[in-house]
Amino acid sequence: MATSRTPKKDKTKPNTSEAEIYMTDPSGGDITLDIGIGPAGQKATSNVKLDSEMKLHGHDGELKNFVVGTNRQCKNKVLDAATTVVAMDDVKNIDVIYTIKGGSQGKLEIPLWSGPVTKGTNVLFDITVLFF
Amino acid sequence: MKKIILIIASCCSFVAAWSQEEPEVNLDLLKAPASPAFNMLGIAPSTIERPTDITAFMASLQTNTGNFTSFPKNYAVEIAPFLFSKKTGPTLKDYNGTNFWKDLVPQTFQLSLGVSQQNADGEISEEEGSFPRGAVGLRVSLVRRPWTKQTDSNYHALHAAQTVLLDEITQGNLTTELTVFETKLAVRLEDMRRVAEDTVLTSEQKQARLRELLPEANSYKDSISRIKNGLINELAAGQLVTRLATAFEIKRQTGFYLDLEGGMVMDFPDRRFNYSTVSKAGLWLTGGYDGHEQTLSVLGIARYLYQPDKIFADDSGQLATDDIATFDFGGRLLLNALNDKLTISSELIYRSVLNNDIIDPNWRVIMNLEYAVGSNQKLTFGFGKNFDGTITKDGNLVAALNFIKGFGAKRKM
Repeated sequence: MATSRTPKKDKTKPNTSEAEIYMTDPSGGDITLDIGIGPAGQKATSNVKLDSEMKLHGHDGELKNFVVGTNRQCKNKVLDAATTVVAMDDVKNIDVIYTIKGGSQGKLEIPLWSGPVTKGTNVLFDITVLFF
Repeated sequence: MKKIILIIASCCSFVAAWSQEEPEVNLDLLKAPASPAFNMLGIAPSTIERPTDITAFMASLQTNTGNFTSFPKNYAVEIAPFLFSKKTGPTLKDYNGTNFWKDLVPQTFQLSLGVSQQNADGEISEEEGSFPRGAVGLRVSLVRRPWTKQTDSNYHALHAAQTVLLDEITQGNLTTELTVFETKLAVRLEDMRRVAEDTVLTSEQKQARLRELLPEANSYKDSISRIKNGLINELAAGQLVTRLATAFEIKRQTGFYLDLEGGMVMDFPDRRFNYSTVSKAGLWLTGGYDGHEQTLSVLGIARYLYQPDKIFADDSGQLATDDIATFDFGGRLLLNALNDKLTISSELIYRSVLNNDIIDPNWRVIMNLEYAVGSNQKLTFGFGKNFDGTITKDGNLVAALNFIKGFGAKRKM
């Protein structure tokens, strides 16, 4: 079950940052985070924090099913995930998609994009998610 | 004895300038062409479109079909289907992987699709009697070597630099303007946290209230992101990452590799999808051991062709190419030894017609040895067997030995 999000932004302009909310459930199940980077062949590094606690530091590349904490542990806390990507080639666009799963809200996908980027350019992407 | 040695040395000096005769047979003839399907269809590589995502592919298709109103007449496209359909894909470190299903298929599999309006002679034409011809091709690496140690080391340096950059750019208070927005965002997030912690509101009420507060939080985040992305490439850490990324180049270790390429052309003489004939097909398997020219390099190519333009095994052209299948195989070996003073190279070609008894399979092998006796001076020796069975010997060593042999021959008085 996907919950409605804030309206999608103008696709013709870069969107490298977003804030969201995510509903947890009372279960002891895990909240997980995925980070996907595109197009293929880019170099990316990510940090993940839950409130002030660094959960993941200097992670290389994509992230799949990273356990942020249980629903109860995440409730009323703020998740900050930041990814810096350096373009390894001239590209039309860099995509970074953050996906949160495990709560009563189901899968929440937060797509971010940069627009055209030349080789060697760094771009910072980040999300802030309040669990409630 | 001393005189003989002196004569040999003189002959070596005398023939030092001779260049070795290039072998007639060239393994390169068996190599798969770039985009084999389009090569068989006669489409020039410069006209092939290579969209990297579905949007670009649809735009290309729309242009070539007159806004989806007609079948494309002359169109060729090459795509990487596993990377094509997804916005995200393997990152740089995954290109060091060597697992066939996990790494090689998603990263190296390429599909070629093409259509061309041609006449019976295979020329692009829209005259009466022309018909559509379609081509499909594939390319995939079956075995790939991992990165060299140097490439791996460069990668780790890039990652270390990027980690430092991420820590620096995500810390607060980089500029005064940034601090203002970060403070506002922190205040807004605190308001939202209080709503979340409220024990009176239901989940739905909390959600509704939080959704009202989100746009302002997003506004501050947009401003922060804009400032940071303006700064990130100005920081010393950012410039270091840029330098390392720009200079990064993948080099692979010496070792075995194997690639598969193939293509097929289908004719639609009645312009109906449910009736087609295969007019050409080809399959190439290329592999070897790449020693980076330092010690040993081996290259092998096996090629199957159906109705080729030219039958490799048929020098005299006595066979028609209709309904003919051929199998050719070639190998090349290059060995450097004795600190590059000695070079041994050998090339073997085997060619055959599979479904016809007129042309027998035949083969040719050639071996060359070179030994550097001084600066710009080499002893060379070549030995080979032609397709017709004749034996060849050449090289300046053979010439020198023949010279000595002639010099020392008995004279009839």
